[in-house]
Amino acid sequence: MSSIVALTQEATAPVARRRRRSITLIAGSICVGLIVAIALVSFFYLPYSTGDTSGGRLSGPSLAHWAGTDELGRDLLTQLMIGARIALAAGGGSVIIGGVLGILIGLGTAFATRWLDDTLSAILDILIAFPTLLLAMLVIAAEGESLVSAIIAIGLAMSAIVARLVRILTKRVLAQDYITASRTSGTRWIGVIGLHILPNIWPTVLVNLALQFGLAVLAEASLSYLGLGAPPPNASWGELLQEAQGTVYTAPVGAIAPGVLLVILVIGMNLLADGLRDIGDPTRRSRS
Amino acid sequence: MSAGGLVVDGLTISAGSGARLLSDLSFAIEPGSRLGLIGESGSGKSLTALAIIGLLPEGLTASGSVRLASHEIVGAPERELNGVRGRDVAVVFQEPLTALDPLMTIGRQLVEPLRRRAIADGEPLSRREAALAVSDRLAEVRLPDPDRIAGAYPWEISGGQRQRAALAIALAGRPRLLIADEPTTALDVTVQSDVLDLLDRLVDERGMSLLFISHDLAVVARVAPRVVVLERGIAVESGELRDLLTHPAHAYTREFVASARELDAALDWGVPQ
Repeated sequence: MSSIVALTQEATAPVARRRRRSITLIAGSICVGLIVAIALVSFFYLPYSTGDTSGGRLSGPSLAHWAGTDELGRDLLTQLMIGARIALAAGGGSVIIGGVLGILIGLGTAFATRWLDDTLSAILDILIAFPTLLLAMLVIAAEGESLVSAIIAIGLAMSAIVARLVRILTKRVLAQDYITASRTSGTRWIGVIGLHILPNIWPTVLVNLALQFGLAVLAEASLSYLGLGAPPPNASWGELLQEAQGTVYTAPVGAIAPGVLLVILVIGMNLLADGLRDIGDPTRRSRS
Repeated sequence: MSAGGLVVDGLTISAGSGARLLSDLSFAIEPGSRLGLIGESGSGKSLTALAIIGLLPEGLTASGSVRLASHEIVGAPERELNGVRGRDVAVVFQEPLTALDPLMTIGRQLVEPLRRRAIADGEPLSRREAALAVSDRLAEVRLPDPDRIAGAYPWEISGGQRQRAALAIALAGRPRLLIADEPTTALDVTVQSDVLDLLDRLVDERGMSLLFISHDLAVVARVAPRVVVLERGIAVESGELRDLLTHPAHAYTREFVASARELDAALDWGVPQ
């Protein structure tokens, strides 16, 4: 597994590399923190109401409209701020669904009998091979266009990937001597999971979930771009991109701003994932 | 059979393919007494230990009988085995570095069985009592500075200290039978001797029974007066170790004793008495 190789390389990495790690953590935190801050502010303050079309069509950035207005004269900054909420809800929601389901299914398959394990693994493989967007469209066809449908769809697709990872990590931990040793002292399976398996697989799973968060944000933006996401006026960045597509030469800010925010959030999550690798595993934390 | 006694009767372990890894092994350990199980690697020693505690790896099945205290282990449901493990029998393994969870401090790994035993006895430990008990148990296995060790991760302490900590964890549930599976093989010779003395003393003080598994005759000779010799899953000889050393009956045992003597001679050769 490439992540394991990366971990072992890191254990022997010189101090300079360790310092670089903490820089990625800080940079990631700043990027993600910025988006979180925008989303939080949007709950208390928005420059304009979402229905306010007084700004004039496609006006450029000005003091009154920092990011300009859209085709209908609505304030873009207001929409971008609401979009931050949606992006975070999409990422967070699908990571919670995908994480919880994935960990449960992964643990289940790792403990299952060989026959059940093979069957479940095959189903997971099919789920992983199944395009996320197609799965999302199926859920949306059944549940209707909404942010919740998108989150459920992305979360389900994610759970298959997380489950595969958890399954293989759990199997590796289960093969360790300390599991047998712990069981000889009377630890029940549930205790083995809580005391040994989860703490040992958590660092890798956490890093993966952070990466999946970024991917989920992108997936939601893609769905919205295709018109399958949250309906207006609570527009996601993907929908803003889609709306601005026709006017990208006359009013470029409409396309650039949501794009830049998406990139900041996704790159931020990836940097955070990278930096998080050090935390939670004391064997790679230098102790004073 | 009263507490601490073990009767193994016709224990057979087979793999899914039908291959027999252990055939018809029988021995008994009276409460408070000791038995050595000797054999080369692959002779089925460790499997015997796992079968006694009901933890055979997936794909292996045991038949015959293992009676521990009032429990029949072979075929017992998991629920019953969980009550037996740690309380009636505990195991110390060969390699303490892999037998301890690298992500848990020694203290946390020790407190779990302590707490389980306390709950089973109907007197749950408070946080404070648990911390004190951890210090006590670590001091009991002669670990210096128990509070520091309790807060350390397994890879932060030495091999000898790790094995002492593992011993403390095994003894935490106050088991009446201790299975020591090559407990000193992974240690330096000098540390080996210390750990062996400690094991010897603790088993004695607590009146525990001991099943000592080793490939090393000299080590077994220090702790167990009676032995069973295993060769490829079959018990070829058993009895008093003294008789065995002087009059090995079976060809395999003769060879085993001879090679042990040769090694001894080679070691002594350069050291004038």
